[in-house]
Amino acid sequence: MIDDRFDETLDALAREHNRAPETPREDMWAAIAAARAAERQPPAAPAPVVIPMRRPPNVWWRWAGVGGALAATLLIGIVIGRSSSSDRTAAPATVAAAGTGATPAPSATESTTSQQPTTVASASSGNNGPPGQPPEGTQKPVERGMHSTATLASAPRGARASGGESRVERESALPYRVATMQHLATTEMLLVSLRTDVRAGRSDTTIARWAGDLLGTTRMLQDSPAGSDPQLKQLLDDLELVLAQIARLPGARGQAADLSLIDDAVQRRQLMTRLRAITPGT
Amino acid sequence: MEDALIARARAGDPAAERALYDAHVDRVYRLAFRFSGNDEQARDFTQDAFIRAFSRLSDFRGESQFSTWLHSIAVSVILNGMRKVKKLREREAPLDDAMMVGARRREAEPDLKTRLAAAIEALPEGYRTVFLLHDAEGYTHEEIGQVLGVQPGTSKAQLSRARAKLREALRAFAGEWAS
Repeated sequence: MIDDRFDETLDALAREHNRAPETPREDMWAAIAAARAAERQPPAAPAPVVIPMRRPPNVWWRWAGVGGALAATLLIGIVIGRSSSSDRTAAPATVAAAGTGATPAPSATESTTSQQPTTVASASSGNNGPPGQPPEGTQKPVERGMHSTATLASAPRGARASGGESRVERESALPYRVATMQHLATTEMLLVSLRTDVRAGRSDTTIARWAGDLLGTTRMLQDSPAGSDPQLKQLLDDLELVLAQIARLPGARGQAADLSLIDDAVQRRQLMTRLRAITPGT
Repeated sequence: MEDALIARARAGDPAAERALYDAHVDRVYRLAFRFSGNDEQARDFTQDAFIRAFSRLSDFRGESQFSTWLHSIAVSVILNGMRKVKKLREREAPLDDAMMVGARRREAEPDLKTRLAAAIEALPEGYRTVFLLHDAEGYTHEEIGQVLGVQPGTSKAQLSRARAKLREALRAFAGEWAS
């Protein structure tokens, strides 16, 4: 009896349990229709994958590799340049005379000319001036292993040829030129990264190590024939200063302010402009 | 009539889908609300049930009524959805309990209706499903068997056990309906 009453009460209560309000037909249909329309549409072509440009965390290792390759190229260049220069020391008079159209020096004087190229150049041109002074109107004698990298890079080929450099000299200058161009291009990348960091208010500790590598290469180039060109020498001197400042940056703390000061120095010295002028097309 | 609508809907006719929706949405929504007690969840369950049904219309072979087939999808969607809701509540419960410490006060004894709601919620899923379908929605045991894929006898047995559990849970109120 009690159970029957309970069941009746339960039925009544159950019908009241979670009684639904009015059905929101249109709202639900809008969602269903949209989903169905999306299902009916043919699958769209896959969107192109966009890879965000960001610097990977191990950027130092990448640039360390670049720096290492650059240093290796430079060393090979120095070795090739010096070996080809020593080959050439047997006939410096010929090199000097080629620019003036004078008769090559006699072979009897070759042993002397290898030690004193200036004297031989004067003798071959028929000038009787004081020893050590080039004759007026003749080309300045080519110094051992000295080649103007900046001039080679920027001057037209005809101008270089008319300047009196022989094919051997141009070939021996090529490794220096390649190494210098690569180094300057890498240095430009570092300076661009520096500027980006400054503008973004970031401080990247890896940039100091990167600059340290480039500083070593810069100093090697300063001591190489590439440093004989006044314009390039000045640029390398300025770069050395800036790279040394970057390489000596403290840790991440307080680095942003220092980076900003260095970037100001880069702008004052117009390093970017000068780098881009010397490394066309990079 | 409904067969023609189903054929058109199967061919991708949106108007036929809308007609089928209009014919069955009230019952599906009511069922969803009965289980969830929440309008937002009931809407989600209903929409999901219809979207699935229309997507799988090619699987409907006409061996049962369309409403039975649709409701079996709806019950499946609702039960799966409620399981997720239950898991979510269980995850949030400890935090809620901790926040209530110190703030809890002695409340009045809940009335029969409230106690029944709590008792229904506490039922095992199978019992609760049969109880709500039969006692609240008026499904027959045959319909329940088709929707849940069980024998009608199983449905009857589960309903009986569900009532027994509810009776036990509401023993304190026995005097009210005995008098």
